[in-house]
Amino acid sequence: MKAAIQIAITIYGIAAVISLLVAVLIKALFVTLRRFSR
Amino acid sequence: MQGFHILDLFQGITSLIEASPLVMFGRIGLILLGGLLVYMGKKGILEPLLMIPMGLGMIAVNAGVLFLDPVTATHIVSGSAPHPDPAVAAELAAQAAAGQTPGTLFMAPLVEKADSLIYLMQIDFLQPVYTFAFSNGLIACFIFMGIGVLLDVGFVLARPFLSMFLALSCEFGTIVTFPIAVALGFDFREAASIAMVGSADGPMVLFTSLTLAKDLFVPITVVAYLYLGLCYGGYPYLIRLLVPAKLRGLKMPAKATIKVTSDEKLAFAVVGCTVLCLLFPSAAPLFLSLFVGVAVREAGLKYFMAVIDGPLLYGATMFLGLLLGVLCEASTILDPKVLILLVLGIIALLLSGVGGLIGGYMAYFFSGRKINPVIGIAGVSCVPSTAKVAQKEVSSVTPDAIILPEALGANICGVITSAIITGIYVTVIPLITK
Repeated sequence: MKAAIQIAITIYGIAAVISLLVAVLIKALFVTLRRFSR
Repeated sequence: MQGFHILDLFQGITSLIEASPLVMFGRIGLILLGGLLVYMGKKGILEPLLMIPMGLGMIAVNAGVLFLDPVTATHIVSGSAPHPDPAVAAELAAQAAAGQTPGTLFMAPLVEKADSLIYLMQIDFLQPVYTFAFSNGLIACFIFMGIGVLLDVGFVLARPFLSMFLALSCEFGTIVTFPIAVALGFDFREAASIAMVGSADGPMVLFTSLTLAKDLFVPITVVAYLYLGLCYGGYPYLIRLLVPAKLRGLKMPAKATIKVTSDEKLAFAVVGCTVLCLLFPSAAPLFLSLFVGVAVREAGLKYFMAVIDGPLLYGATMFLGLLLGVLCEASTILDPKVLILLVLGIIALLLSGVGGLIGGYMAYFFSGRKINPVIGIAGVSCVPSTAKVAQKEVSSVTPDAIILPEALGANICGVITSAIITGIYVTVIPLITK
């Protein structure tokens, strides 16, 4: 049970980091494309 | 005519009478449930595209049980995954040889031996569709491709951080259900598959359970698809319970619409697909399918769009419903684990909804009370049902309050975060359980 909780927290942590990374990527991509298209 | 018995002619009834009372009532119950699903699909209470073929499949497979002839029965028994108990396996083989094995001519879902498969494909009605499109998760990819064509990622590009944050909050059920399932006696692989019901994303549940817990994938997938319909019916009550009317009707300040071009959306599809496939190769088929759909839409490939959002998506949905129904044989569904799965499935979806609304409240406070907390529930990736539910609940209090663009952004991100969690589960769990 304790191991399962630790795994769940770790997986959520990884998911949070990856989601943040994707959001940053989207923002960066959006800003870059806007700058180049000017 | 000597030795002929009228019940030999109507073997569906004979096999019903000769089965144990549990199996008999199970079969009758599932036939009635199949009829109920068709009715609820027709009335629009549950998703008709899935429920009508699923209900009919469920009726047919539970009514159409016969005593298989010895050759067919031997092929089915020997072509299936061997029963873990050697005594039961020997008994099955003896029954098959004597022609006393009850079964159906629809499908043998756990077939493993390729030589037996060729024989089975000639007799089992849906076996080719199951073997080539279902057992390997291809049908999930087809549906994901169809979803990709329907998605407008412009809503995500306009508000990436808010959308991603809300979507991540809605994975609360997917995460918390995992240790609960382990505490109830499931192993890590099974627990991860059940927990995915919380993502409210059918193809993800199918993909995860096929990858991690093949023995339980039938009940888990059936539970997931049954409950997806409940998102539309149940979440409004959860919203009304957790968000007071004053906040539900909150009008969000009008922001200038950010126009996102199709070139930008296409660039997002290419970069997003590359990065996510690089991070999670195990879930790469899902990411590719989703982003191929998005790319086809944004590149304006009209002929491909016509194929993907027409025959491919609806064909896959119809066969998915039919196969899920046919897989609901009494012997599979009467597994005692199924009852626990039903409870865990509803817990997972409930917690995801609660998590989404907590995320909505956090967004509300961090934005200086400008964001309507109801949009939180739209992060549950049941596209576009949860976004519609959120807008409907807000409109019922303040008819001119519009939250749909933000809700759709969170909704689409919900699909992406569900795919991310799937990728993590199918990568991490096998490493831990090695």
